[in-house]
Amino acid sequence: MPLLDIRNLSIEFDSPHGRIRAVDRVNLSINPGEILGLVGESGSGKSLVAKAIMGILNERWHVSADRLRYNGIDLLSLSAKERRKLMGREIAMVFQEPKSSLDPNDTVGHQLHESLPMDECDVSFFRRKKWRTQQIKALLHQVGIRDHEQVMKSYPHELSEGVCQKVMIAMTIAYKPRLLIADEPTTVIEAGAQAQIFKLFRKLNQLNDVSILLITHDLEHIENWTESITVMYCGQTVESGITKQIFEQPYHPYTMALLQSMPHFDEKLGHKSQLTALSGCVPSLQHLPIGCRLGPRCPRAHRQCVQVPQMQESHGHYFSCHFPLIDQQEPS
Amino acid sequence: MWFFIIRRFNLFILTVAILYFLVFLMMQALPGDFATNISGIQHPTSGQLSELNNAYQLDKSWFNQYISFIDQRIHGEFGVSFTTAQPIWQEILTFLPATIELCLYATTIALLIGFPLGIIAAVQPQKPADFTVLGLSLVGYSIPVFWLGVSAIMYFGLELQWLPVAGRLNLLYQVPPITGFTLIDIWLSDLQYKQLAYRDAFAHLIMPTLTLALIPATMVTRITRTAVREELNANYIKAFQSRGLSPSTIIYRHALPNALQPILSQLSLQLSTLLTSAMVTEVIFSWPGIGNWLIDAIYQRDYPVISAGILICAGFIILVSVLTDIMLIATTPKRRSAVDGSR
Amino acid sequence: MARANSIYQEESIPSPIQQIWRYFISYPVAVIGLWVFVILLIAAVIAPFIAPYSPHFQHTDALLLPPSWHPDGQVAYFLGTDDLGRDIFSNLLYGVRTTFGSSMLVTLIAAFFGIILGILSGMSKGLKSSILNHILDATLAIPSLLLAIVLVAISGQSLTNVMMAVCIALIPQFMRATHTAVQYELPREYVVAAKLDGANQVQVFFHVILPNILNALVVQTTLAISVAIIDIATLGFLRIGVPAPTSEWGTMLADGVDLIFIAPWNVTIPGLAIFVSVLAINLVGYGLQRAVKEGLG
Repeated sequence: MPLLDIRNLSIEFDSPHGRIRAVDRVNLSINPGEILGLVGESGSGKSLVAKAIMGILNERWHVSADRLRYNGIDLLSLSAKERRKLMGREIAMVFQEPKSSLDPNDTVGHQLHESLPMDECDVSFFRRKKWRTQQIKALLHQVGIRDHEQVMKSYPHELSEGVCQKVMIAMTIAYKPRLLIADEPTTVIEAGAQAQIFKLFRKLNQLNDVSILLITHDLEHIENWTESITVMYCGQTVESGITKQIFEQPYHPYTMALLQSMPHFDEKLGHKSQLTALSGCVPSLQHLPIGCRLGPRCPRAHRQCVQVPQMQESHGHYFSCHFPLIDQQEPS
Repeated sequence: MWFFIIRRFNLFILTVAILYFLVFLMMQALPGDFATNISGIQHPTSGQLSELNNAYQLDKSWFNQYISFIDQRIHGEFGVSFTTAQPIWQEILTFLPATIELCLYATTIALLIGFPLGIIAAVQPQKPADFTVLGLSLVGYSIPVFWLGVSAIMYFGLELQWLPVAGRLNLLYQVPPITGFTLIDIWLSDLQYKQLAYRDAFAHLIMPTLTLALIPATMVTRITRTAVREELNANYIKAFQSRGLSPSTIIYRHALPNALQPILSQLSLQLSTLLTSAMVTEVIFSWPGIGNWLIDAIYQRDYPVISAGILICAGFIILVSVLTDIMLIATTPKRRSAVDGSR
Repeated sequence: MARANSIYQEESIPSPIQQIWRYFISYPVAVIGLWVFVILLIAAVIAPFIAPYSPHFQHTDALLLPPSWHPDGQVAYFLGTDDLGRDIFSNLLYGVRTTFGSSMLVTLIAAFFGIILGILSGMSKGLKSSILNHILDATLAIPSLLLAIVLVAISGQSLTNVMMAVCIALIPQFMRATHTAVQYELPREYVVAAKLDGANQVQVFFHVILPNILNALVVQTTLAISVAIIDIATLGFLRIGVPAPTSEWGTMLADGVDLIFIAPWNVTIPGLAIFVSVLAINLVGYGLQRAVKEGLG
């Protein structure tokens, strides 16, 4: 049974222009112990999906789904209190800008103190503080922060983003979650720390059996660190399957365009030649195309694309396109 | 931190110096003899004239005059009033506590009402509670304070006869003024009818205080609502939510303390509005405070009193805003850097 | 690629002003406020033509008449009369010009000067900026009403003097709002980008900063109008404002205080007028603030 099972998740909000469907019938599933990558450009709705799973969207957004199940529990039917219990215990989230995800007027140590689970503390009242400090020290060492004293005394704006992200991860693993949602965890982080964070994820996945939903737009990260991926464009799922398979043979024109847009510097590029990219730009929310949202930009679009294509499957490889690239060769 | 405090204090001195300069200029512009206006002595004898010349350096350049003007005022020498020929400093000491008392109580009530209302409205955006609070605060903010005061007098004072309409205390009660604050003075004195005196003082306090408290209450509500709403939209609040913290913990332990800083700094900007409303309220309710005194002086063209009043009022406002600034710096030790603003 | 005969909608993104307007219209209270505002403006202009009587004319046979819906009232004197027999409705209409109309004028003038000064002080740096800042702080510490009162006391009571006094008292507020807005935009990266492109101070100001602070300025202007109305009315109430024959709502209220027990409508009606006009402006201001926030994100 998949750990996280999402079917036809739609997220809408009300604007003066009417009800806009930012995320349109997205499908996603993660198996226990798996690392799934959720790929897409900025604005494709990936963060919205993550926040919808966590239930931290505010009232403006309307979430509906045929299935939004974690470990068999239907998330949409939970009360707020039950949802909160699930959050942080079983599902945890790491955010894009770690520095601003920490309370700016509180020391890191104090915030770590707050986020420690106290249920398993069987130490007497007087030794509690020491116990907590020891736990925090262990957590910080686990995420790779050696100088825990200095970090604990600092305020978030005094630390680098990399360190802040590690602190965030430390806070989330304090409760030993089973699913970790990482929303663009390394986008603002310097390159050296990026690799450390990914290694940390892999360690968590292998040693503690934590499933990870890695949301990113960086294809290299996807290639190196994930087992399966789901590609989203403009709020719709476009393709999903095993990473290796998709990278070798993408079926959807968008995935193909994505892979082609990665410049390969080992080949000779012509002087001032253009980098490959799809023409046009991501449509704005007020003017979303009907049917397949890649329509206006897709090189293979035809009249039929005005209808949303059904999700088809071929050897564990899901795609929704009327004109998939099944008979094409590999991308360069 | 001390560096900031010292710097702020320096700014305070500088601002007050500029204030004195403005008042000095104003006094030059007033009709009548400058020496008379500045000292309050209407027909000075030659002996008094030479004293004035010495004190205010009237025969020297305007810069000397300005410096000696500050010098005199700092030493408490505000001259005498045209109308009562009493030293103005004495009058200030009599009237200032009454105004401070009124403003203090009104501000406390405004905070007690406005703060919770603002928080309630902020945590339930776009719901009926939010609209009600917003509507009430907009309506309350639009009621002119004098209309409210006069209508209150008309209704509660005259028609229902519940409350007295003028002054601080019924003349029957002789309470020796020690601090100038009625309620404290009653407590400190040893009168036999303390209970009755309390009741009377309280009855006199209710209407002016509530009238004065309305506009600040609406401002506190709106400022709190905006500030808390801004905080609640921040990234770190979402991070806390995702860790399963209950809404009340998030609000009271994180959003509110962080919202306090912008709330306080915006509130300190509203001080002059408060003082304006206080002055009008004092006139309506014949409350013996600085505002009433000042407005009377304006009717009577009592120039020394007018200039002293401006110095006191504006100086008071500057002082309070500096104190608020210092308090803010002290309570948020590690300030967010200016770059951090990502929401 | 199907481009020429595209079956997809044309992208036409509305300009910021259109966006703001669209949001503004979607708030019913703001639209009501706008309507009242427009009605008041029109009334200010056509008051002499629609007022049934001259406001100063004393109808000695109709003293202290209550409003027309009261059994003793008459429809001819729609809102009643005061103790000198002057028709309250006509006074109210002429008062629109004084209280409302002049506050609009005063605000616009104060906005003009205050914004220019605020821009100069906001864009200056170093010592000059510091000094201007302190002068601003000192002037702001003096309550605007107090400043206006003193100026009227110095220059005497007349409509022009009152308007000038309130205008001068409002300028510091505009200065401060502009100054803060400019200072907020200056360190932003799009300004740096423009400077790197070679823009000089003036160009930076007109093309880069001004469009972005316009919204804050417009909101500040609406707030200032309500302050101006209340200031003029308060001055009138304290009898330091517009002198006797001119109708002014605050003065009408003050006149009515003596009659409060026997003829309360003399107090309620002018008070309501002030309340309604200030409320309308505040609603418009609130609607604008929200629309700007939503429309520009």
